[in-house]
Amino acid sequence: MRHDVTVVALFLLLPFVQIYAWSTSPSLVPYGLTVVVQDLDRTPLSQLYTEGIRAALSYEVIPLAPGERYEPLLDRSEARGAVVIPENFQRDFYTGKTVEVQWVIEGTQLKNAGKVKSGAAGVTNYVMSQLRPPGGSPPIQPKVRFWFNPGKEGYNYYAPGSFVIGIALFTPLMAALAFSRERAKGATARAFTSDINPLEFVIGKIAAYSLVGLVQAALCFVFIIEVFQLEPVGEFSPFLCATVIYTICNVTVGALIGVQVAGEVSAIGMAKTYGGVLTFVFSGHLFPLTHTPYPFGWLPGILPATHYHFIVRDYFQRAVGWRGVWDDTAILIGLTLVAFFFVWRKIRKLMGGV
Amino acid sequence: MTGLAYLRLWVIFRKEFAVVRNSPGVVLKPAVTLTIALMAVVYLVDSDNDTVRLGIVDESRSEYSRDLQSRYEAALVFEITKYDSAAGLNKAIELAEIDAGVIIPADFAADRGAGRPAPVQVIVDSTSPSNGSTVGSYAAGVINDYNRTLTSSSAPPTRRGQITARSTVLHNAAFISRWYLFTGLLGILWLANVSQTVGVLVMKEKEQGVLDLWRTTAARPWEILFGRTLTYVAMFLPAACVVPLVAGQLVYGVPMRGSMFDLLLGATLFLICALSIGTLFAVICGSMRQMMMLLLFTTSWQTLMSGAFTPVEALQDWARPLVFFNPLGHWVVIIRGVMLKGVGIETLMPHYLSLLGLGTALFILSAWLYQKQAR
Repeated sequence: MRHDVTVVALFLLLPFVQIYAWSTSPSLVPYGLTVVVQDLDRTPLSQLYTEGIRAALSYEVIPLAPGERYEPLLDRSEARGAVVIPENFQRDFYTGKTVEVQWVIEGTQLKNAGKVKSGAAGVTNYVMSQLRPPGGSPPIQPKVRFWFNPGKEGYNYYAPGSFVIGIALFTPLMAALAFSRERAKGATARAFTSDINPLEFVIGKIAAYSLVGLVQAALCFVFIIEVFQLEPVGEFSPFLCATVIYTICNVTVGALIGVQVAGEVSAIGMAKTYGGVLTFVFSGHLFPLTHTPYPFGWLPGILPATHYHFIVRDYFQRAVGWRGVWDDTAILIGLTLVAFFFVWRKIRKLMGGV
Repeated sequence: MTGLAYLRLWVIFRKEFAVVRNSPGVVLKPAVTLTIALMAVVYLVDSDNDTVRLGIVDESRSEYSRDLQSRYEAALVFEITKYDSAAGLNKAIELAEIDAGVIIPADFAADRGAGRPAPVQVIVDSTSPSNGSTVGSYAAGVINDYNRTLTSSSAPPTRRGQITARSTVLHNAAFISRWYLFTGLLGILWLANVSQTVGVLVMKEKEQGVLDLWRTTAARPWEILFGRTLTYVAMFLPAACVVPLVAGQLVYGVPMRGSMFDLLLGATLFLICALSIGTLFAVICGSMRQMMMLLLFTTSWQTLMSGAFTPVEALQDWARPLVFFNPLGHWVVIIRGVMLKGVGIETLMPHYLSLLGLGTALFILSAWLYQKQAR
């Protein structure tokens, strides 16, 4: 590794940039969604409705004159939705009729579409609450409390999540490259001529890369704590144990890829698939775990990041401690041992053993 | 351009085709991997499979509380578990066994019977803030809907009517998440596979000294790159574009509402960008490892800032201008525009022009650096 200083520098530097970008660039929810409003009534009530849309902070309102078409704006994705307030809106409302405001939503970007759709109901409820006679409070009052992250701070979620993904992205890649290159150059087979046995060989290599991985993990941890001013609330010991195991696990998975997949490029591709696709998509950071359909619901369970995510969340948000994360820690150990067994078996074969 | 230059280009073009013909795996392997990964991930990340694990504690045990519970049971999104006490429900939330909990207090029936506002406690796990918001709005939404039913049936006659919002969702009325995932993921996988394939090829040439051999020929570096880019666009377009598109249409019913020509034109421009990114990194990096690390890093960065999964409106202000310089961002608008909306070049012209500009700039930059190294 020390032969390629640039790679070591990239290995240590890129995760910081990655974690910073992934933690700071996405906001909690879409904001500034552009909505076209065509008011065909132009009365105080229709203006109240338009003000209701403006008051919802997520929207940026573009007024559209009667007779103009909103479709081109939706086609060009310059607006995410169009609201048409019909003629006689106020008159019909005050004669006791039900009046309908039309919300046309551009549905190709589902998250935006969902936000505008829920906004349609929210704005309408808000306007109706403004028109409700005094004293008319709803019969049932939901008192909603958000646990573990009451302010719904994005950093509390994205920064620890990016920390987990960052380790899974770069650590296996380094290990896969090292094992794959050694295998290609015949260094693994040459070790057979020495008095090193396969177990010592595997432990030694994994230990070396785990040490580098742990240095990287420690630096990333300090980075997220300092930059995002995170204040962990849970026990440190489960987090520390799990971080060591998770790093070793990722190095072992990288080693497994390196010894199993022939060719450096293929090994890199596989390590990218592990870190960039499997871990990133299925470990619960990007999409909820429940999104994986039957009969593949087990898939997130065999990914180390799924369990480590849970332990990291416990340290930063939940604060349940060993009682809540012992099973995830045990699974992490199990996954590491399984990967280690297959690496050892393959290395033993490569070194000429049975 | 002289006749000689055309001839040289033709020779380079034939040479690149010969390379691919001799080892078709260079194109076929990434194309097959891409198609399989695309179909698998789209299948496995099925957000239509959305359920909320809800715990309910009914301390009231009355007709009123059972009526409220039945509203939750009727909403199919909830997977309901009942708990005997608030402590049991709290523990379940702590251990992440449920996403939210509803506690109906003991005096709920008395409040409802007396016509007083009856509070109901809703506890939401907001470890993930966006999921927490969604779950919270689902759980509170059931109560709000129930309130509307109660007030409209019991309200005294009034001269005021009701305002309702009629929502019409265009282009994906059923909110089919697989269409959305497919159109977002295709570009990401292209970027990852195509840039890597070409990057590895150029890097191997560098490592094996083929770059030095080119110096002994009359071919100019930009001609070599141009020939290679054309070859790989011609190879990747049917293998990595048309095949996954057909597969997506057959398996997931992703519609093709616009013109195939418009889509392929956008795909060509995007592939030129992806190929140039691969070449550029191979030229500037000193080893295969460095290049792979940088490619991995920039692909994930481009994915985030493209609007493929995270909407551009969900990016912070500082990150939004970067989307303009991201070829993937323009491609996502084009593929969703052509396939889902059925619009064409005339509507999406700014994005086609941006891809053309970015592709040209990336190509010139990589050719210039390539030329410098070839010297």
